[in-house]
Order: sequence, then structure tokens, then C-alpha cells
Amino acid sequence: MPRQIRRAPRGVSLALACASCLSCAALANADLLLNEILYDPLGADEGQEFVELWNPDSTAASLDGVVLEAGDGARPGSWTLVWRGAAGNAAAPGAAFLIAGDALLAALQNGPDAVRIVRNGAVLDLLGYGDLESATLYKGAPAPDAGSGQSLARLRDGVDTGVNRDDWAVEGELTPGAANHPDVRLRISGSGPSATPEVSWPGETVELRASVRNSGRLPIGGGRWTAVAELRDAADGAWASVGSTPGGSVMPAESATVALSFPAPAPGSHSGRVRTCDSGPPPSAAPGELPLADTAAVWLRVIAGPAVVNEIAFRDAGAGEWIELWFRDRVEDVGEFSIADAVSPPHPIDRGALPRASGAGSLLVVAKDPALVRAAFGLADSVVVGVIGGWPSFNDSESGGAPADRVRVLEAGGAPCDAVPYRAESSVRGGSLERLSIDLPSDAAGTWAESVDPRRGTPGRENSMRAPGPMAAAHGPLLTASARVLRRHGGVAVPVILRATAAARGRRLTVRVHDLLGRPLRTLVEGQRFVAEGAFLWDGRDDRGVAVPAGLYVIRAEALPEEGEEARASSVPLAVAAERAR
Amino acid sequence: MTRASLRAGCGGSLRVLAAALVATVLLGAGLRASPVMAAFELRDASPAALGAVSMDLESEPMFDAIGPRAGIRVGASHAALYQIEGLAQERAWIGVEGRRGSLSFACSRVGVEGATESSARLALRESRAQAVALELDAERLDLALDGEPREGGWAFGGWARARFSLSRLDIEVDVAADRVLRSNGLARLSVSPSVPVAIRLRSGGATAAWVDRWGGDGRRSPRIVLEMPIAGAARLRLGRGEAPERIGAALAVRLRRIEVSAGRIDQSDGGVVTGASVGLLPASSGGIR
Repeated sequence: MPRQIRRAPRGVSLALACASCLSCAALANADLLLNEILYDPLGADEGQEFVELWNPDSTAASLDGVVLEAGDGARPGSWTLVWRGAAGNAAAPGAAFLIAGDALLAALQNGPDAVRIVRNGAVLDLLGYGDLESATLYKGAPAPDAGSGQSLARLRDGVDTGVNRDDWAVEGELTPGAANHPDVRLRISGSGPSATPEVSWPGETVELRASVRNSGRLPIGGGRWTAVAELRDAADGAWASVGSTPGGSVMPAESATVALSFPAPAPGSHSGRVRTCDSGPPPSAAPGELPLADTAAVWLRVIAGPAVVNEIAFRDAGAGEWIELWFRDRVEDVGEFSIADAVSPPHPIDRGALPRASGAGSLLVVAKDPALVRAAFGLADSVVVGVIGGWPSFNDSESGGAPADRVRVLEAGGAPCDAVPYRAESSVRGGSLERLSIDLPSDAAGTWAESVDPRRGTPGRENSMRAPGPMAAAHGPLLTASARVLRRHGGVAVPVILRATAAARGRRLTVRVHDLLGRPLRTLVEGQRFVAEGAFLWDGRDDRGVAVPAGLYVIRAEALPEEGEEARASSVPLAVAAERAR
Repeated sequence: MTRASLRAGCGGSLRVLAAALVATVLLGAGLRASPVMAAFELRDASPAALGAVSMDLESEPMFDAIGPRAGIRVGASHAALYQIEGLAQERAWIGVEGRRGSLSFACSRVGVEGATESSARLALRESRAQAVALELDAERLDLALDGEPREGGWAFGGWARARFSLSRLDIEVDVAADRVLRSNGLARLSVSPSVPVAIRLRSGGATAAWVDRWGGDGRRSPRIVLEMPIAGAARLRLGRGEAPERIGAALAVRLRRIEVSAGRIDQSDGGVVTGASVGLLPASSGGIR
């Protein structure tokens, strides 16, 4: 493969050099070419920008006296020195030479702008990008402007037609210091693998999914490569394979998706990676060259924590968007955590000037507009905080079958602490989504229910919806309740969810509410058969529809006797609180 | 009734008049009340109350003191309610009983962790040996729920009891105005008055009673209670009630001044309440009234 690259440009370059001379008289011998440039990296530019040169010749090219200059698109003729080749610098034959990091003396400007390489006053190559007007800033026609995180890359390494627009393309997959399009190259896409669920629970299956692109010029046959999922052992740092799959055939410039599934590992945070490799020895690769090998890292967490998403207000019900975090363990500084949605970068929690601790079991509300949430819900300043760098606006509508968005809490290093995908249809009244139990999986739809609080949310206080405890075994109680206390606010009761357990499955049930003297007040279920575990509500009213007074009550479930089944009963206590003013 | 001998003592006619007046007023108050169904309805789940299927009323002691000397009655009970783990009533009482009357104090707590109803009750009662006896009581009632402000208040009520003798049969008629006066805190909790009534026939140490409790919504809860001595040192109390249908039994055994008792209520829908108590009786207590 390298031979092809070396051989072809030599003949072509002469023809192209002629063509170049027609379009740009200032160009001299095209022995060195610009091959790839990144001028707008993701995040901060400093240290991330690079320019890649290419030596198409069969002998090494000295870079002594070669300079790289940046041209200002707004001021044609104004060139800034970006790099100067030293005596020891040389570009290997048929290979790239990378100029990056501290070697760059000045920043590369986002388009429309230009760069050129010059030796002894002669321009060796020129690249103009963006909407340039001055013809002195490009060859033939300017190349397109690359977006943030994308590079401009020569379509064929070392081949120049003299027209920037034809030779260059925006490239999402950066290849600094390497050929842009060798014969064979398999790369995991820049966004890296994704874990589903991002935060899993013991017993769940984790799937790592990655997009693998053939950025080479030749097809890659099925079975020639393998994708492997690996987890790092926390004790000795060694990587252990947890799953692998043979790769399929991938045509040039096309991608294939690999999915690797494995049981959720032990609770905690895990460093993982997806790796592609040759299924067998590479047939014709040069020593040390592994064109099918690539690696991309991914973080995994099993069981959310220490900051757990406990409530999500993704609809603006008058107080803006907010989420509520519940701390499983004490944290010394909440500012170490960031909030993000499915696509946004992390936004650190604004903890103020000093580190701010949060105790185990405490709640913290993180809001787009903290003052608005404080005012709407009567919360103390210390309970509600904002984020730094703008709020990651949560979607409240879905596209296709995917969840509307995902609320993510990230630790300082970017590892997930909790991640909750949600669907817009989960909130019908515009209320927040409340976590029914801290012990339920974050990504399960059944873990979340719309708040029944009259204010459409309970930031900074106990959720209005809570799940009963773990499902009972067949010999356990017939019934569990979502709360011990039924509350009323402004005449509106927060219903208690009563759940018929596995022990009630297949049985005919009668469920009544009694007072402590045993007097029946309300029949909730009258002999219905529960073919599965089911749930129903008590709204705090008796059979006449009258709200029962405050006090203690007993909800009694009786499984009626049937053929082969004995009658059995179980009861749960429930308190009804006095009416509380709105 | 013409052959009945009314054994009213000095001032008895005044007490009869007062009792009748109080009963009339309080009956009226009771009829205006809201339904009897709220917190603090379960007052006494001691064995004596379970045997009488009357957890909604203060129980009559199974061993009464009618002797001339003053004595102290003290005891405590525990009841498990409806076979729900943690749902129980704890109750303790102390009283001084004398020839002219008694002063008693009882406190109880019912509920589960995080949700409790508690009460403290002070009662001043004239001796039952009199033809007409009055009782006044004051209660402090509190409802405490996790995450909610404590709610509660004061309630006051009274009893009137007339006692007649007909040959070897003693007849007692009780009319009460229960929680007829309440502070605002209890009104907020919908605590309402009621009118318990009872007719008891006593003879030879055995008692048969018809007891009812009338609520403001016309709700009634009639019950029949039978009580009999067993070998002088034990007493058995049996009860049957309606709304809800239930039966109850209690057995109390006296060993010198120590009383040990156990009781149980079974409701028609399967609800079960069991209780046990231990107490110290007044020195003059006897198994036969």
C-alpha cells in the first residue's frame, strides 16, 4: 500500500504541477504538499490545532527553511508565520509530517482564511478555505470551510490537481500524522462507542455500540476483522475481554455498526474500550502497521451514584427546567459533577466560590434559573444551584422512536454518574418525572412517574410518587403501598399506589380500606382476578366519594378461596394527613 | 317499675336531674356531629376492651373495686392490630379509687413507625355505688405523621350512670357525651362527638350488657357483652358486635393483687386484634361486684 502511494504521485505530480502552474504562477516545485489541517478543534483551540504536510517523493525531503504561513481572508496579502522548519526537520518519503501543539507559533484562523508552505520565497502549496474573494488566497477555487471538530483533508494523499475545491474535503475522522486515505484503514468513528444503558444495574445486559468506518480506498472483507469489548481491571489495570464479534464487509467510505453485549459487571465505575483488530495476521501490512486496529474508550457505570437523578422537570411549568439530585454518599464538592443532555458537553454545577459538600441522603436541585425555582417552590437558596456555561436544554419532544433526551450527571473525569433517558409522553400534565425508588434502574421506564403534586413537581423534598418495596415472593404479602402517608394539598389528594404483588397473581382479590376499628370505608377491588402484578390507586375517599378524615387506616387485601387455593389475606397500614393549605 | 326501689343517696335527685340535662344536651350535640370516623377512634385495645368488642370506648375493668378503702390501680397493655407488623397499641393507666369516686389517668399510642395517634386521658368519676354517678373526662389527642406538622387538641366529655336494684338484679344505665367539647385542632381533624349508651344487668357476679354508640350520621355499633366469674379468681368476658360484625373474648386472672389478662377480637372479614395486659389491682378489688 505505501508503494502505491509513493509510485502514483510521482507521475501524477508532474502533470498536476503543470496544472498548478496554470492556475497559480507563484507555485514552484510541488515537492511538499499540505495534506490535512485542523483549525477549529472541539473545545479550546490551543494545543489542538495541527497542519499535516505530505512528502510525495521517494526520498526524504528536508524541511530546513520551509515555512508555514497563515493568510488572513479579510486582508489578502497579510501572512503570518505559523511554523519554521529547522535544520533537522525532514519528511519521510511517501509519508506525512505533522506540525502540531507547541510547534505552531500562531493560531490558525477559522475560515475564510488560507495557509501556505513556502521555501525560499517560493510557494510550495496553498490552501484557501471558506468564502474567499481574493484569488491570491487559494488555488483554482477555495475548499469548503470545515466545521468545529472537523479537519480539511486532501482527498488523495499527495495528489494535487491545482484546485483546492477538488482536492480537499471536510473530514470528520482526523488522521494527524497518517495518510488520509490509505488502501486499508478501519477506524472507530470519532464520537466513540456508546454504552446502553449508560448506567446499568446488576442483572442487566450492557451493549457497547460503535460505528466503524472504512476510511481506506479498498473494500474490507467480512471476517477479516474483529471487534472486541474490554474492561479494565481496577486492581491491576489489565484489560479483559468481555465480548467480541467478527466484523462484516465494509466498502470504502462506508461504515458498519458493531454491537457487543455482556452482563453488567460489578457495581461501580468501569473503564472500557472497544477495539478493532485483524482476525488473523495482516496479509501485506508493513511491519508495525496495523490498518485494521483502532481503539476507542468508553466509561461504564453499574448502579448510579453517588449523585443520582431523582426528579426531572424537562417541561417548563413556570419555573424553567430543573433536575433534582439525591446523594447516595457524601460528596465533598458538588462542583465536581456536571450536567449534560444526550448531545451537549458537560456543564459543571455552579457550587460557588468554595467547595460545597453534600451529605448522604441530601437533595440538591440544579436549575436553569435557580431564582425562579426558589420562588416557585419556596426553597432556600442553599437547595437550588445553577450550572456554569449555560443550561443543557432538555428536549420535550421525540423524533422517531428514540427517547426525547437523556439527563446525564457526569463525574469530574467525564465518567457517568447517572444517566436517565426519558420520553416526552411520560409527562402528560406537564409535571416533573419522579423517581419511584433509588434502587430501581435509571433507564427503565417503570422507574419514573409523573409527579402528582399540585405544583407539578417536588424539588428539594420527598417525591410525590414512590414505589413500593421489592416485589414480594409468592408467599409474601398480597399488597404493597407506594407511601405510608396520603397527603392532600389544596383539596387535591396525592393518591397512593397500591400494588398487587406476585403473591396475588392469578388470584381473585378483594381490597378494602378500613379504619382502625375495622369498619370498611372503601372497596377498591371487588373480586377481580389479577392475571399479573397490577396496581391501583386510593385517593383518600370513601365509597360515597367523601374525603376520609386524617388518621390511620388499614388496607386489607383478601385472596378469595378457589379450587385448590386457600383464602389468605394481608394488610398494609396507611396514614392520611390533614389537609394542608396550598 | 313501681316495685323497684330507687336507692338514691343524699342529693341523688339533683344528680339525676343533672345527668338527664347533660345527656339531653350532649345527645343533641352528637346528632349534629359529622360521621364518627377519624383519628383517635381506636382508644382501648386492652383485653378488657377486646372482650367487650369495644375498642372505641374506654373499657370497664374486669376486676372492679367496690370496697371502702382507697387503692391504686395501675397497669399496661399491648395489642397487635390486624396482623400488620409494627401496627400496635400500647396503653398504660394509673388510678386512685376510693369510696366516693376515682381519679384515673391513661395514655395510649397506636400506629406504626412514622405514623402514630396518641392520647392522654384524665377522668374523674363518682363512685358507682351511688344511684347516680357522673364522670368528667379530658383528653389530649395528637396525630404525628412523618413529614407533617403535628396535629392535635383537647376534647372533653362526660358520662352519667344510673343504678337501680330490682330484687337480686342490679340495673345500670349509662349515657355519655363523648368528646362533646373539642378544641379547633381536633375539629380540623374531623374528630366528632358521639353518644355511647349502655344497659347492664348484674347478678351474682355475672353481667350482661347491651352497648351502643351513636354517631352523628346515624351510624350505630350495637354490641352485647357477657361476663362471668370463673372460680373466683378469674373472669371471662365475651362480646359480639355489629358494624363491623365481630366477636371478642377476654380472660383475666387475678393472683393476689396482680391481674393478668389476654383478649382477642375476630372480625367477619378476617381482621384480628389480640392483646395482653398486666396490672396491679386496688387492695379492695374483688371478683364479685
